[in-house]
Amino acid sequence: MTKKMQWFGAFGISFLLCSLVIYQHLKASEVSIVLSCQNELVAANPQTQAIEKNIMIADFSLQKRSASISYRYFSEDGESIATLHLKGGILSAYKEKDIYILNLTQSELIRHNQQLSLPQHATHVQAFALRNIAKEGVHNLTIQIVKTNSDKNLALLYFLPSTNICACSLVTMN
Amino acid sequence: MRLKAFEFDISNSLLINTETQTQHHLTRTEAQVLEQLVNHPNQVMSKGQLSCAGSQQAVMSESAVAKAVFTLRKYFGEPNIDLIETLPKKGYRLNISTPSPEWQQQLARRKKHLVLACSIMLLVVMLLITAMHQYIWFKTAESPVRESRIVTLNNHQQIDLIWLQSPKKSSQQVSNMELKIIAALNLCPKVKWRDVYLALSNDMQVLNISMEGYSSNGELLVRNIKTSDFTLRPNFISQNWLQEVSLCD
Repeated sequence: MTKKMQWFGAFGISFLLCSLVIYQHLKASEVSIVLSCQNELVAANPQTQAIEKNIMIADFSLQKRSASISYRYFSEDGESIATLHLKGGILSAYKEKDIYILNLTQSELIRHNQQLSLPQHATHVQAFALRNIAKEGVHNLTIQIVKTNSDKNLALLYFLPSTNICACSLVTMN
Repeated sequence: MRLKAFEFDISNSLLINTETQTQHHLTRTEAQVLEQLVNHPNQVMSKGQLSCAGSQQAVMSESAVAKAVFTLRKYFGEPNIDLIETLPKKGYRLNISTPSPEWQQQLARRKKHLVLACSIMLLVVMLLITAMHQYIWFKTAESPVRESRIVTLNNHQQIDLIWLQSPKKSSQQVSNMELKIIAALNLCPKVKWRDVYLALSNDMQVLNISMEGYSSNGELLVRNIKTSDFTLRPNFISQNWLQEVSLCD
C-alpha cells in the first residue's frame, strides 16, 4: 500500500467517524412518542381531612425535537377543571436506554371551571415548573421508560427529578 | 518556495537566506522575474517571456529583466551564482537541482513528525469522542427499581411489590405503608393486580401507586393512584383513604 493510499485511508476513517458522530447527534434527539396516562388523584383536604378525588390525564407528546406535556384535571364526575400545558424541546434522547431529557420552557395553566377548586397536584406541578422557568429559564424533566408491553401498548414511566411513576398507554412509537 | 538554501516568500516579496537568516526585500520587477522562473523551474524563459510577468503584454523592459537577474544573482551570492543560468540568445533558466541528501533526510524527518503529530491528534480526537459518548455507547441505563418482592396474599394469590428509586424514607415508614396496602389487598375476595409499583416523590409529599393486572377475560388493567400530603409528616394511607380508593378493583 502506498503512502498516499494510507493517508486516504486514515482520512476516510476519520471522515466516517466524524460523519457517524454528527449523524448520531442529529438523529438521536428525533423522537416520535405519544403517551397518555390516566391518574387518580386522592388527597385528604388539609382543613377538613375529607378525601378529595380527582382525575388527571397526562399526555406526553415527543415529536422530532419538540416536547409538550398536558396535564388535564377533571372532577370525579368528569367535569373539566383545568389544563396545565408545558412546552419545550428534547435536550437528549437515549433511545436504546429509553431515557428522554426534556427542556420545558413554557408553562400555562388554563382554568375551565372557576367554581371547582384546583387539585393540589396541579398547584404543586405548576409552582414547581414556574419556579424553575423563572429561576433557570427552563424546567428539566427526565422520562425513563422502565418497562414496555408493546403488545398491549403500555409503558411504565419513571420521572426525574420528581421520582414519580406512571403507567401509560403508548399511542405511537416509531 | 524553496530555492536551495533560500526561501522565496512570494506574497511579501522576500528572499530569505535560511543559512545566514539574512533577508532581501525584492523590488517589484525582481519579484516578478523570480516568480516566473520559480513557476517554470529548469525551463528556459526568454527575456520577452519574463518581461510579461505572466500577462499578455510586457510589463517591464528586457533591460529591466537583465538588471533584475543581476541583482538576484548578487543576493544568491557566489556559491549559488548558477542558480539562475544564462543561455545565450535564449534566455534564463532556474536551476533547481535535486535536494541534497541532508535536505532530503531533514524533509523525511519533518514528514515523520507531521505524520506522528497527525496520528496523535486523530487518537486524541477519537478518545475525546469516546469519552464524550461513553454514556451512550458503553454504560447501560441504571434500573430505577430499588427492590422487588413477591407477596402471597391470604387468598394465595401472589403479587409483585416493586419499589422504585426514591428518597430514603425510614424502613419503618416504608414497611408501614406496605403493610397497609397488603392489608387492604388481603380484604379483597379476588385481586386483579399482579404488579404493584410504588414510588415516593422527590419531596416525599406524593406517593405513587401504579398497578398492573389482567381481568378475567385477559384484558390488561392499569391503575395509577397519586396521593399527596403536603404536611410536615405525611400520612398517605389512612383507613378513610383505603375505603375511598378501594384497591381491589
